[in-house]
Parts: sequence; C-alpha cells; structure tokens
Amino acid sequence: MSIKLVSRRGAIGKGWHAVALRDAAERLLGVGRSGSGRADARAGRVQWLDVEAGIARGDVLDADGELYQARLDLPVYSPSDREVFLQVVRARPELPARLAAGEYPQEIEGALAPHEISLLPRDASELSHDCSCLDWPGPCRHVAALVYVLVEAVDEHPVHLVTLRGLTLEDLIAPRESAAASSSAERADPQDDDGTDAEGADADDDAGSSPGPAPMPAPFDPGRTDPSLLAAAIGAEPARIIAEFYGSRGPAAPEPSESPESPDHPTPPDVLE
Amino acid sequence: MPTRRLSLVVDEDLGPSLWVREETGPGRSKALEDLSDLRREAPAALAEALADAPDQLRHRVRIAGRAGDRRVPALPLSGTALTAVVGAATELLEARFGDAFAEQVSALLADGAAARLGGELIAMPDLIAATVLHLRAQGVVADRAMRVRARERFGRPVLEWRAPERDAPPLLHALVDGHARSAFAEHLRTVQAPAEDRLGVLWALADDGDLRADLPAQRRITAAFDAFVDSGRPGVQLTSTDSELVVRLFQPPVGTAWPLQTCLREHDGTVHPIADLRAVGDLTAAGAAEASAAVMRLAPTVRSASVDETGVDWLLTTAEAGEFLSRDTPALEDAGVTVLLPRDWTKQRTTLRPQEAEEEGSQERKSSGVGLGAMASFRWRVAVGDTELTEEEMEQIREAQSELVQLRGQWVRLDATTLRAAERFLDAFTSRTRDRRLRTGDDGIVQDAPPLTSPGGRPSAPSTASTPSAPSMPDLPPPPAEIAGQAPWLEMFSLILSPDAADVDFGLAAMVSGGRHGLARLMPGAEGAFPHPQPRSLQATLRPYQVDGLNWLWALDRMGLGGILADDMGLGKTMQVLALLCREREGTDAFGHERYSVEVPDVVPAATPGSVGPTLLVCPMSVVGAWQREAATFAPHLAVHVHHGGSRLRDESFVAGAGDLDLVITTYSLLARDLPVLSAVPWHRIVLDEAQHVKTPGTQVTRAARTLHAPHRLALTGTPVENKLADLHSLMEVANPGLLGSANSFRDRIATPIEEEGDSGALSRLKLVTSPFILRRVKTDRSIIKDLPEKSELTRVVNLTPEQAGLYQALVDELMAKIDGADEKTRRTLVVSTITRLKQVCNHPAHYLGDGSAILRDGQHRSGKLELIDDVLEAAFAEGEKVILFTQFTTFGHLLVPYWEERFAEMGVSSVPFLHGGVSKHDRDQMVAEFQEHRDRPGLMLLSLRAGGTGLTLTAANHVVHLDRWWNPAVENQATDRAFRIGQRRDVTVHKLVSAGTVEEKIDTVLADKQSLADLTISPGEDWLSDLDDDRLLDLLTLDEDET
Repeated sequence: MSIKLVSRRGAIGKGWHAVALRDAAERLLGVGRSGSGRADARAGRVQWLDVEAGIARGDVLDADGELYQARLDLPVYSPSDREVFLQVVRARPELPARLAAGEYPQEIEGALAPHEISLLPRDASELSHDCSCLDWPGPCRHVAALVYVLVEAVDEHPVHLVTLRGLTLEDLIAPRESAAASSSAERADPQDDDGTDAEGADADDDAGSSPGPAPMPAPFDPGRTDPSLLAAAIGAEPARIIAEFYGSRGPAAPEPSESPESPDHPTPPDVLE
Repeated sequence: MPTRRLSLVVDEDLGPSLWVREETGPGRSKALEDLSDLRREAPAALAEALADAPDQLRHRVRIAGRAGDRRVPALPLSGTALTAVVGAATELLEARFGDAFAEQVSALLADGAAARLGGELIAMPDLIAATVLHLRAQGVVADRAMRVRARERFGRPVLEWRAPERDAPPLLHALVDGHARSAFAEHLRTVQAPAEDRLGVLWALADDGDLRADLPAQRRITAAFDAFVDSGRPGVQLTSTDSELVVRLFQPPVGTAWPLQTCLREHDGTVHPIADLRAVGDLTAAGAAEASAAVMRLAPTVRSASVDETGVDWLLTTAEAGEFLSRDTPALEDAGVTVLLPRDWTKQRTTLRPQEAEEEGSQERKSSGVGLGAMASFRWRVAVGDTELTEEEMEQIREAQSELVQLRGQWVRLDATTLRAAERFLDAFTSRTRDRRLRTGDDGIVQDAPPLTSPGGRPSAPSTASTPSAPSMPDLPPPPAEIAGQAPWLEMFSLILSPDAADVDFGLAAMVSGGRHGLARLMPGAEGAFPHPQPRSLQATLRPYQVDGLNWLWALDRMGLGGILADDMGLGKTMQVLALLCREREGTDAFGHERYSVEVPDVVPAATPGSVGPTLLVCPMSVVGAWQREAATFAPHLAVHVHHGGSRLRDESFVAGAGDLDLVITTYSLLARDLPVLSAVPWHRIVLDEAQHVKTPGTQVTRAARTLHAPHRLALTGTPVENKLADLHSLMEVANPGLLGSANSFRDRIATPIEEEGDSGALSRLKLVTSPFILRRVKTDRSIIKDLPEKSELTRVVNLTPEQAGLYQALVDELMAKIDGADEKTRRTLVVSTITRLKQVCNHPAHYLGDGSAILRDGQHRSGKLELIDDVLEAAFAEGEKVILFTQFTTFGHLLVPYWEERFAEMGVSSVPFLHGGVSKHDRDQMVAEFQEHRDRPGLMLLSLRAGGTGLTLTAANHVVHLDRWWNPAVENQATDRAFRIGQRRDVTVHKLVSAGTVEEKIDTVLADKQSLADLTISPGEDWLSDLDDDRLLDLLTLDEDET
C-alpha cells in the first residue's frame, strides 16, 4: 500500500494554504532534497501518512528496500496561543465546514496575524524532522517525500493543520450555551410562521422545528454495540469476544455521582524541604 | 516511624506516578528513593498493592515547587498496579470515614487538605482526588462505557482502555484502563480461546501484550472501536455518510435573509438540523462540517453566502436564494440531496392573457385588408399564477433575473420556462408590430418606434391603450400593465404558432374582450358574429343555435375566410348551409345593421340578390340524396344540380350551365375524376361535407379538393379531429389554406407536444388560433338542444355456441402455428385476415364457412348473436318500433335478409331493405324514404357500415344494432347518429354486440378507452393489433373457454 499523489507534474499543492506549507517545508529541505522528495512522493514511496498533534509521520520505502519512518513536526499551540486561536476562529463558525470543503480562508490567517499566531508554519524554523534512517542530521529524502505527501493531504484536507496544532474540529465550535440560545431564537421564526414541506417529502415533525430545549444525547447501552463494526479491523473472533464483554455488565459500582470533581493539580500545602 | 506523605502525580511522559515525601526531621523532609521501608510499615492493603514494585525508585517526575520545578524519584503506575495502589488508598479512607466517606472526601478536596491513611501515612490531596476518580472508573467499567485507543507507548503499539469522555482527566483514563484490563482478563478466562487474533488485540486489552499493528492500522483500530462503542447509543448512528443529506430553505422571517439549513434525514424520515445534532453529540463536528461542506461543493451559490452562527447553515440574500433554486437545486437533487422548500412553493407559471383583439374601424388606412389580412390591435396582460402583473412588477421581475420575486407581499417562485417564453414572445410581438408600424406609417411619415421602457414590450395602462403612439407614460402604472401592438391577423396567428411562442401559455379563458369588428368579433370573449334574423326564403324555422351557426358562417363568408362547421351529427349542418345560400341571395341590407358590406365593399362583392355564383358541394354518395331532398324541401327556389352518374355532363356545357345554378352536388369520387371540368367553373363557394374524406394528405381526393379554387370555402364534419390533430390540420388546409402553417411544422410545434407531452401551452395556442374558424356544438350539450331525446348505449355480451367456439379456437391455433417465424409483412397479413375470420365466426358459422348452410340447425340457433338480435327485433316490432342494423360484412347481410324476411313476415316486416355499397343511389333514396314513411309501424333496415354510416337520416328507427364491431368509435357513433339526430322523437337504444371471451370483448375494452380519447379530439392509430408481440396477440385472440 502506498500513497499515490494526484499531482503528476509541476508544483505539488494548489490551495494557498498547501502552497504556504510547501514553501516553508522547501526552505527546510533545500532545493536538492525538494526535487528528490517530489520524485519519491510521486513514485509512491510513501506507504502511509499519519497526522496527529504536532507530528506527521509516514513509512517511506527506500531504494534499498528498507522502510524508514520519517516524521515532520510542527509544534502544537501553547495553551495561551490555543486560547487566542480559539477566540479568533470561534468568531468564524463557518471554518469547520470550509476546512471540510478543502478551503482554509486566508482571512482567518489574517485575523490571527496580529496575535502573532499562524495555523500554518510561520517559518521553516517552526518545522523539525526526524527519520529512522542513518542520514543524519538530514533532512533526508524520506522526510522530503513525506513533506510532499503531507502537502497534498493538507491541500485536500486543511483540517490536518488543525490536528497538527493539537486541536480538533470539536474545539473550533463554540460551546453550545451561547450558540444554542441565539440560534434557536433565530431559527424559531421561519419555522413558526411558515411550515416547510418537501417537494415530495414530509418534513413537518422534525426535532429541530421547535425552539424548545435541545434533545439530550441518547443513553448508552453496551448491549446494543455492533461487533461487525470491529470485525473488519481486528478479525471476527476477537470482535465477538469483545462484544460479549461489552454485553456483560460488571458488578454494580458504588454510585460516584455525588463525589466532587477532582482538581487536577492541587497545590501542595506543605513546604518541600 | 517517620511521617510519609503519598502523592500521585500525572507525568507527561511516565503517566500516573507515586512519589513519597518522608519527614526527616522537624520542618525537613526528602523525597523517598527506596520503597522497602514504606512497604514494610504501610497498612496491609497498601503494602500488598506495592508488593511487585521495585525497591529502588529509578524514575524521576517533574513537580512544581516554590523554587521552580524539581525532579523527584517516583514510581510510575499503570494498569492494575495503579488501580491497586489507588484502591488501597480508597480502602483505607473508607475504613476511616465509614459512611461519611463521600462528604469527608469532598470537604478535604474543597479545603485542599491532606488526610491520614493510618499511622504516619498521609494521603496528599492529589491522591485523595484519585480515590474519587477510582470510584468513577469502576462505574465506567461496570457500565462497560469504555472506549479503546490504540497508540504507541515508548515505541510499542499498545491498546488502552479509556473513559468515554475524550477530555476526561488523564488519571481517570489511566484508572479506567486499569479496571477494564482486569475485568477483561477475567472475561477472557471464561471464554474459549479464540481461533485467531492476528493483531494480538485480546492480550493487548487484558494484559500488556503487544498490539501487532503499525501506525495506520492503529488508527483503523481506534476508529473501529469508536464506531463499535458509538453503535451502543441509539442516536449516534447518524453520520453524514449514511444518513440522507437534506437542505431546507425558509422564507425570510424578516427582511430578505433566507435561512438555508443543512440537515440530515434519519431512516425513519425525520429531519434534523445538523447544528442540533452536533450540539447533542449525535454528530461529530467533523461529520457536521463534512455535511455542510458537501452542500457547499454541490451548491456554488452557497459558497459565497454568509454563514450563520452555527457555521453549517447560511443566510442567503434574495438573489442568492433565487440562484440557489434555479442553479443549485438541480445539482443537489441529482446528487441525491433533498431540497426542502416552504410549503405551497410550486413554481408559478407565467401566462399571457390576451385582453383584447380589436380590428380597426373603416376609417383606418386603406392598405388594411379584410379577414386574415386585416390589421388588428392586440393587448396582452402578463400573469404569474393568478396575479396579473403591473408594469412595476414586470419591471421588477425582469430586473431581478431571479426565480424568486416578492409579489404583493408574497414570495413567489417563478417557473422560468414560461416566464422566459412570455418574455420572448412579447419581444417578438413588439418587434413585429413595430416593424409593421414603421412600414405602414400614415401619410408617409415614419412613426418612431415608441420608446421601450423594457425589452419585453411597451407596457401601457389600459385606459391609454387606444393611443398606442404616445411617447411614454411611466407615471401612469395602474395595474395591470398591458402590452399593445398592431399586426395583421395572419401575422399574429403565425407568430402564435411560431417557435417564438414555444412554451407560452395563453390564458385563453381570461380573454375578456374580443373586438367589435371583423375577425375580432369571433375571438373568444367577443360578442360573436353579428346577429341577423334567419333568411326569409328558407322554408323552415331555424333553431337558435342554427341561427348562431348561420351568422358565424355569414361573418366568415363576408371576410373571405373559410371555416369548419363541426356540429355533432344530427344538429343540422345541412340546414345551416342551405340557410347560408338563402341569405346570400336575399342579402341582409333590409336589416340595416350590416357593417361589412359598407366597410369593405371592394374586397367582397356586396351581396346583391341574384348575382351570387354557384356553390359546389362535395359529399359521399350516400348523402347526395339527402342534400337533394332537403334543398328541395327547405329552399325550393335554389337551382340544384346533381353532378353524378354516367350521363353527367363532362364538357363545356357543364361549365356554361353551372353559372346559372345555385348548388351543384357531386361526390368525392367524381371530384378527382372530373377535376378538369369542375375546376373550369368559377365557383362562388366550395363546401366539403363529411370532410373527413379529405383528411389524408396526398390522396387524389384531398389533392383535388385543395386544387379547386373558390373565394369561399367550408368544411363540414361531425368529428373534426377524428383521429389526430394532423386531421385538423388537413381540414384547415382545405378551409383556410396556410393558417396553421406547413404540416411538418404543425406536427413538430403543436401536434406532437399536445398529443405526446400533454403540452397545455401548445393546446392554448392552437385554440387561440383556430377558435374563430371552428364551430362545434355537441348534442349532449343541453343548452344547445333541449328537445333531443336520450340515447342509451348498451354493450350486449353474448355467448358463443359450441359450434362457434370450436371454429374460433381452430382459427387461433392455426394462426399461431403459421405466425411462428413469419416475416413481418406476412405476419401482418395473417393477423388482419384472422381477425376478420374470427369476427365472421362470432357473427355466424355460416358466415365464416360460406357453405350456404342454414341459419338455424334443427330449429336451434347456431349463433349467440343472432339469437339475441331476434329477441331485440321481436320486442321492438311488438311495440311497433323500427330498427336499423349495421354490419361491416355485406355477405353477412345477404344471409340475414331472407332469414328475417321469412321470420318476421307475420309481424308485418315482410321486406328487409339492405343498403350497401352495391345499391344504386336511386334505390338508396327509395329505401330511406320508405323507411322514414310510416313511423308507427315495425320496420327493419340493414346497412353496411361503410355505405350507410354517414349522411343518412333514419330517425324513424329508435333502435340501433351494431352486429359486429368496428375498431373506430367515431365511425360507430356516426352510424348511430343516423337515428339519433334532429327529428328523432323517441329515446334511442343502441345495442353493441360483443361475443364473450373473444377478441371482440377484449377489444371492446380498448374501444372504451379510445372513446374517451376521441372526446379529447385525439385518438391513436389502429396499427397496434398487428404490432403486438406474439404473447400479447395470443392473449388477445385466445378464447376464454369458461365464457362459452
């Protein structure tokens, strides 16, 4: 299994955000590595790509037949940067959908700039790299190939940038309290004074049509879990056993609900030494 | 024993770790590096939990202190080791606080205070907090609410149990992992060892077994576990991929922002906004974003629209909403996305309503012609749905360039097709009428085209429509606006039928006023033809509707236009034509109101008595006598000549003599044959009776009829469009050549759209153009004729005799054997001939066999039909009533005549006349006259359908029998109308005989369908029988045995 690039020739990455990432990465790579990285990426040498907070990783097949694991690091936001970033993007609620549609509005980056924050790497110096090969200190051609696979992935799924910065799409959405209040008030009007009807379908009695309290999440029932969802990933037999486990409730635990939440890092009351 | 303080910290690298501070002296303490003393001195529970731990603490964790971070020796705890230690601490605290455990712990945590576990052992607040999490973790595991995550830990792929909340404290995750691990290990011991576990999942969950999975596989496993766990929550199955995507557009609550909502439809049909689903966690943020992104991908308009605070719904401007409806909706629906619109949002069609058509008065320019060449002014109103638009509204719609407009406070979705069609038509209308004005401007002064306030025409208020050249009147926009222009009728009609008018819907019913002059009077909504009294020289009293018909004929005549009089059989078309001949010979001057003779004297010669030329009447042979007789009875002063028979004049003398005649009657067969001599006569008028004879283009008769020239032309028929609209075109070609354009363009633009697509716009256009030229009244319209008795039609189903059934089945078997592998032409011939034979069998075995055998065998009937007819006849004769009987088989008639003459002689029916194609005209007239004579005596007349189906008047009979069926209901109805027509005084019963279980009965069903088609003036061709495939054909022909 290897990753096939869409791009067959010329520059890799079309969207402005992909181009910005590529430019930063290419400054890191240098001209020579960039060229070999593009070639390797197009040749499908990168076996897979994984993006998580701070790290993009992938196995790259070398000409010598060995698999090397290359990684490119982009630091996650510091807690204060994260705070500012969320403040900025939560004022732009369309961002998740835009990202899902493959766009990263330049305007957002512009709004972040005054805070000296960027979702994209601000500079080549923000990127670091590592590889399991012996080409030290690099960047090796494995990292270079990984870079182009990442660029193309980010081009299509700019949400990877959010992931690299240590955030999820959920984080980008303002908590419901404020949003719910205003949105249900707004939404109530059209539905109240003018019902809707489908062209051929009936849409009258849907949950969203009343501005009442938002529906509660349905209760969890482990007995309902569907082992077929596991079977493909781990095999039918283990999936069955795990589902049986979920199906068998354990002994009733002491009711913990009245227990207070625990502070994570209480200050030690005593002096040390 | 020194005081030891136990702390549990969560280190970034090591995870939960225990470290101990030991008091080494007053106010002094140090971090413990060796566990052995603690283990020895601690309470049993704790000592046991630490049993497996190494003595020496080799790991260091970072802890915050006053003087900055310090690194202290610590014991990393994970899995069951962690739960054992925290569990021991919990146990000790529970033992100490008893039932008050929960309150005491809360109080301690609130104060940030430590607690003594026993002896000199003190639990620091972070360990106390851990005991709370410990209980929560137990609850999570007991409820089996854990999640599972695959990840790499110290370079090893491992599986971790996790708390359900992703943002739970790391310590809770670790405690859940510990509890779940042991619970799962317990579970594994109770089940049979799995046959395979290639990834090592089970041991990775129960113990610290390695997960055999690289990073991408780890991601897949995590995702699979998430999906697995989520399937335990009923509402969570919603994902943007397996639920149906729906977008919902709302009318603006205020202003012009149109909310557009992204929704998902569950399998049970309920629709939820994804913003709500996301809020309750039934849809992930990624799923919601994906759904919203899918809408953006499919709907370009939405991409640039502004988003509301949910980030997945939009607020569209009106322009965007219109764009969305016209451009994006089809793309969305093609992609399977449902678009929900406000209730009652059907597209509103735009109709053009002709308001007035007015022909100009006599004072107008000389160049204006009469009839189709006459100039007329037209006014149109534009209506959307039922709303007639004002000038401002038209302007607004045009400028909006949008499907959505706000009309009178209501948002309306326009049907773009009819809107554009109306605009296109008005453009064409304006340009043509403007050209006309420029060409024919008065006094040589070319009038400027009036400034157009819009591309679609020049709206003007109705009150000012009479001054169409006023420069502009934007200040007077009283509703509704009208577009006016002038053009000759013919140009107007051709425009209406042209592609420029394609898709235009003319709201004909809304036409309020035709004009008062010329053709305009005959348009829908107009006053109708000018009323005159009936001609004095006619020896009959016309019924009111006949006077109307006469006036209509007269009006067309005066304008030099032809018409189609399509009254039902029996309403007196002959009489109306005779009345027309009378009127044109006596004139209408005496009445004083005739305007046409005053206005247009130079085009149509004034009707001066005695100076009118001869009228040529062409009809089928069977009705020549009827014409002759009626003319002699009601208009005896007319000089009538029948051009017929072997001794007819065929030379110059005919031409010379014709000039002195009023009416020359001839037949269709002679029309073609004697065309040279007939076309040498300067006819005043040509009348084609039963004009369906000239409906087929290209036949000799039709060509001859079109060749004959005469200033006045008239077509008479009972069914103007017997089968197809193409027939209407053919008839109109005879009556008003060129009115409907060429046959091909008429078919493409009008006939096909109406017949095959049910195009109501095309139908409205056709009606608009043809309405002045077709007059059709139906007998069933009681407002037309009040004194015609009822007609009841009975389909009499009779059974076959065994003899008939045997013959029938043999014929079907034979056909099926022969048809196998036959080529198409042979097949067609076989089918047609077999159907004929089957009908013969149904009539009578002797009819089919042709062996001269007797009608009865041993006094028993051999035919079910004949048995029934004998009963019908007997009953009728007993009442002194007369019966006419139709068959399409002359041979059958010849069999029946002697049989009935013998059978009913004693009931007073000793002779049965048989009118068929072989009977001379003289004999036919004789038969009809005798039959009509004694109305109260029993009587029977047999007619062949072809010869006797049209033109005859046999109102003496009040029973009509159709012995065998013809595949054309129009033909049968015409035959029936021999009796059911003016002059009939009794109710008429029509018996249509059908043999049960046979092809007759099966086709009767089809006939019933065709009857309703004929009522719509449309019916399909008749080739379908031989075009059926073998199975269907067999199905249709095979005898249903249980019926015999």
